[in-house]
Amino acid sequence: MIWQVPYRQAGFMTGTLVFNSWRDRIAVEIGHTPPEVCLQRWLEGKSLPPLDNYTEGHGWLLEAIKDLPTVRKPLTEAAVQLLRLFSHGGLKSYDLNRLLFNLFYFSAGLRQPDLLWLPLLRILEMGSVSANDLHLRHYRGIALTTPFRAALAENQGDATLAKLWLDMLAKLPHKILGGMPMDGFEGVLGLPGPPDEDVIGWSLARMADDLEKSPFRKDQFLELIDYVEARFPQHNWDFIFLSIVCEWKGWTQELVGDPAKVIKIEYGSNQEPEYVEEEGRRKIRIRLPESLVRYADEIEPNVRRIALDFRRTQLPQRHLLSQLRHLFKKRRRH
Amino acid sequence: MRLIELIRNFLKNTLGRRTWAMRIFNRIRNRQHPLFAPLRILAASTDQHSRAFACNLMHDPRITYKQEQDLIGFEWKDDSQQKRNLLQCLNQCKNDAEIRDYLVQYCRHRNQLTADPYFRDTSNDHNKALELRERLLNVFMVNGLSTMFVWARDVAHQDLSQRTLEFRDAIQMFSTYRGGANPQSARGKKFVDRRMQSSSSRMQFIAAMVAVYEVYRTENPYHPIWLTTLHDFESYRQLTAEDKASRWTHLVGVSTERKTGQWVVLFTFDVSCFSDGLYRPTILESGTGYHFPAPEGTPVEGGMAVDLQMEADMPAAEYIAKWPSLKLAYFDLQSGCAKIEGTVLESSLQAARQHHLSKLNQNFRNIPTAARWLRRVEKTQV
Repeated sequence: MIWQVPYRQAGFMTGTLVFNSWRDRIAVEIGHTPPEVCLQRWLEGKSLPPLDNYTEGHGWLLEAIKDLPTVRKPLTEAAVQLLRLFSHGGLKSYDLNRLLFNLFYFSAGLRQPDLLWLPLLRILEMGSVSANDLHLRHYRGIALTTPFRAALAENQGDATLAKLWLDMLAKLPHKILGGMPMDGFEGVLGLPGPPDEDVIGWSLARMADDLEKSPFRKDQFLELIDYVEARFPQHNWDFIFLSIVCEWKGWTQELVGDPAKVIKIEYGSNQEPEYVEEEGRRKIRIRLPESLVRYADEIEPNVRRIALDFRRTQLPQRHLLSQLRHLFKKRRRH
Repeated sequence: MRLIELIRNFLKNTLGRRTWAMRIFNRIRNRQHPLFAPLRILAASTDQHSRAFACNLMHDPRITYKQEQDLIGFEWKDDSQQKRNLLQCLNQCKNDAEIRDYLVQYCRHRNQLTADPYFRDTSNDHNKALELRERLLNVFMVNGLSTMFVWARDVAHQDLSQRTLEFRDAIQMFSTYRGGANPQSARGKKFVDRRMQSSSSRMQFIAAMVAVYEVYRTENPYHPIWLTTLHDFESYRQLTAEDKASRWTHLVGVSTERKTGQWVVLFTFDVSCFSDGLYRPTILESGTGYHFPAPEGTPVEGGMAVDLQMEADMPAAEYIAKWPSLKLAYFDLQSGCAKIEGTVLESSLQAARQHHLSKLNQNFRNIPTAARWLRRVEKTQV
C-alpha cells in the first residue's frame, strides 16, 4: 500500500514538529517507567529527537522543561537518584562518560540547589573513587571535571565552596575539581544570597589579570561585567568604584570609566575641602586646600575612593566632607 | 462456499500476515537475514523517523555486501572495555526506538566519531565522485561547536608551548566562554551572537573558530563534512529575507527546529581541497531519515538532499568527505553568514520525503533501473 501524505500548501507549516512530539512523549514515558531509567537513557544519547548530531541529551531535556514545567520536578528527582548512585559507585552504564557528561550539565542547567546541592557536594566531599577519576574520564575531549564544576557552581546551597572558587581565581586549582580563574569566577557568581561586592570586585580583578595576555581582553572583560549584571540585575553596580577599591588593571578603566573623569580633584585657596555636584551625583568636583598639592600622589587615590563610595550612597554631602576632613587630619598628624 | 471462505481466511491469517522476504540494502533477503526482524519492527513503527530510517536501510542501493557484513558483525567496546555486539543488542531490543539507537551507534562509531571513516574504504570506491569539477559549499552550524568551545576554554589554560602561535592566540577567544555544551543555551547563543553581530568581530571570531577547529576536529572527530555544489546553492546565497539561514539549512536537509538564534556560515571550497576523495553519502553515514538514497542507476555522482521546504525544482547535490583544513575555505562576511530567526517553516519529514520522491520520479523516471527502484520505494511507507 502506498502511504499518502498531503503536501504542504506554500507558506504554511503543516508538519508536526519533531521536537514537540518527542517532548510530549517524554512526559508520558516518565509516567509509566521509573523516571531515573528514562533519564539515564536520554542522557546516554538514546531516543533523542533526531534533529542534529550536536545537541546532547541534556540540551534537549532542558528545552523540554522550558515548555513543560511539570516534568521539571520528576526529572530533577531522577537526576538526584542518578547522582546518589554515582556517589555510591552504583551507577552502571555502557557509556558512562557520556551519561556523566550529560548528567552534570543537566544538573547545571536545572539550577535546583534545594534538591541537587547535597548530592553533588557528597560526590565531592566523599572524594570517592568515582569522583577522583573524573579528570581521567573524557567525553568528546572534555574532562568530566568540567561539567561537574559547572553543576556545583550552578547549584550552590550555601557558601561551602567559596574558598575553593577564590583559590581557582588565584590560579590554585582544586585537587579533584581542578579549575581555572573562569571556573572560580562562575563559582563566585553562583554563590547564594545577595552579591558580595568586595568578592565580585576582587574576582573581576583576578579575571583582568588572567586576561592580560588575551588579544580579545577588552571584549571579554566587558562580557564578564555583563555576566555580573545579568546574574544580579536588581543590584546597583558601580564598577568604577570597584575598579578603584579592588585595584583592577589599568586597561579595564577605559572600559568601565576613568575615575579621574568622574571625580575631579582641584586645589584652591580655601582652607577646607569643598564639594560641587554636577549632573546629580554622576560627576563630582572636590576642591582641596592648596597646601595639600605636594601630597597629591598620596592623597588623591584615597580622596577618589571616598568620593566614589559617597557617589553610590544617598547620604548628605556633609558626610563626604567630614570623611575628607578626617583624612586630612590624619595626614597633618603624620 | 463456506469451505472456500474458511480456506481463504486460514490463508489470510497465517500466510497473508507473514512477510517471507524483504529488501535489505536493495537486495532481496529472507527471514533468516539477521537484520530482517529488526527492520520489520522499524518499518511497522508509528514513528515517522523510524519508518524513514527503515525505508532507507531497505532501499539504499549503494551499500556493498562487504559493508553490510561490517554492519552485521559490528562490535564496539563500551566504557568498561567490554565488547558489545550489534546483533546481540538488536535482538534484545524491545521497540523501534532502541533498534534505531543501536543502528545509529554503528553510524557514529564507523563514520562520525572517527578520524578514519569507513566510507573511505576501497570497497566504497563506487560511491566516489570522480568527475566533479565544481566548487563546493558547506552549511556550517556555528553554535553546533558549543562542545568545542568548552574544550577550548579548558585547553586555554593548559600548556600551549607545543601549539602554534595562531592557535595560542585563537584559543584565548574562548577562555571566558560560559554557555556549557548546550547549543540551545541562552548564554551560548549570546556568546556567539555578540561575536557575529558586527563585521569586524565576526571576522575575528570566525578566524579564531577556524584555528581552534583545525585542532579539535583532528583530536576529537565527530562527523565528516557534508557538502553541496555551489551551483545548486547560488540562487539562495543572496537571499535577503530574514529566514535565509533557515532556507539554507532546509535546502541541504537539515532541520532548523529549536535552532532559532543559532548562526550559520557558508564555507566554500575548491574541489581540489578534497584530494582524499568526495563520496556519495549512504544511510550508513547519515543515520537519519532526513537522508534519502539516490535512486539506483541515476547518472549523478552525488546524493540528493531532501529539501525541507519542498520548493527547490531539483534537490541539491550532497557529498561527504574527510574534513579539509577550514583555512582553505572562502566565506563572505556579509552575505555568507546569517542567524536562524523566527518560526520554523519546514514540512514534516514524511511530507518532505514524499515530495522528494515525486521530484526524483519527475527527473529519473525515464531511466528504467531508476524507475523500477522508485516504484519499489513508493510501495514502502517512506
